[in-house]
Amino acid sequence: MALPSSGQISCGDMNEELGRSRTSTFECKGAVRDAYGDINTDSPSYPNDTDPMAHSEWYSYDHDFSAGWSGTTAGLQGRWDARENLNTSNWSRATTDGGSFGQLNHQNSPTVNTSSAPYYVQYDGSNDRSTSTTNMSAGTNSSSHWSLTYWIYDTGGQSAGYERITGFSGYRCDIAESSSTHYLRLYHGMWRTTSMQVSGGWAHYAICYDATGVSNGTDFVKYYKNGSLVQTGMNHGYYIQNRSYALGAKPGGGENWNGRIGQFCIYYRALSASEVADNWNADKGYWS
Amino acid sequence: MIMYESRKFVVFDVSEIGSVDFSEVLETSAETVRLSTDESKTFIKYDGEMPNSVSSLTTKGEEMTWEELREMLTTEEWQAEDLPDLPESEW
Repeated sequence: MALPSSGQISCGDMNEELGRSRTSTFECKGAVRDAYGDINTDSPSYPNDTDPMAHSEWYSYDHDFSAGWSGTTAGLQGRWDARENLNTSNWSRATTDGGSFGQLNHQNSPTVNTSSAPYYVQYDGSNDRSTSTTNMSAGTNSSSHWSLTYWIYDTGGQSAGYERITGFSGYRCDIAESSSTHYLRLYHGMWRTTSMQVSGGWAHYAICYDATGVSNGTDFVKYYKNGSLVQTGMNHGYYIQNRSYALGAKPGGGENWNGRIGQFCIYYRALSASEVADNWNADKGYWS
Repeated sequence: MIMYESRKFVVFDVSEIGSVDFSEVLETSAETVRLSTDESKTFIKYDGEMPNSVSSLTTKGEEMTWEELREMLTTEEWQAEDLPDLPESEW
């Protein structure tokens, strides 16, 4: 629970917010001085104990960073967000979102930008990628549901027919960009070309798979761009259980994508249209 | 968009991969390099001057720019045939 946005904040309040016992004394060890500007924006960092502190600096402070992300967290398996846990070696999922798997290891030096907003990982389209250290757990069988959402930026110069933004072992549910048309493609038993173009700067994409359509004959893959439904499709019920995966290429390399990824989310259920819009709204001020 | 102005690429025979000092190049290891379709060739990349271990490769080709490398990757030698596309009208 975040601290109040105005009024008095006691040492006990701050201790409690930081997960400590309520006492009348307060110690601020391990603080991050440079995070001053973030204190009122749900930052997990707090002031340096050598600096004078005003209570106002703690207004709205919330050590639970997930509360600071207003996107959909129900059913979230992992959110890789360039603003959290990203360095030149690896990219771990956002700390407090829940989920059971986490680290992507960078291979062959994709460019990591965490110096000026918006943060991202840039893949050069030659041989770099980020590979999973734990297999995906979402999608237990062909009747399971999943959603993949992205903030991405195509930097052009595509050289392969199906450049992988995300690749899975066995090519299940690979998400790729067409080299000639820049249309988003999904491999779901066959390559499906959507009418969504991956171009025009930063944009939010969501691919949501609702397996109930398999049995009742309705569309069960829905594609969204910037929070709006663009297309629906009836695809085979491929699943992604226990699959390794990679960003920027196939997990073993090849069909490398040239572009930037700011955020990547995996859900084990199909998001609704309003939930996709929530995800877009949560970060459109940052990546678009 | 101009990208990777200082980045250079060199193609060589996979048989020489053991001669590359991976602390000098941008690839992670011999296991993560990209191979040609027939798995006989690979390439490494670096920013700036050619590293010593790359200079010593006897099968290396000409130093390439990022644009030249990307052009090379469009050829059959570097692209495995993928499954055909299914047009939207056949969904």
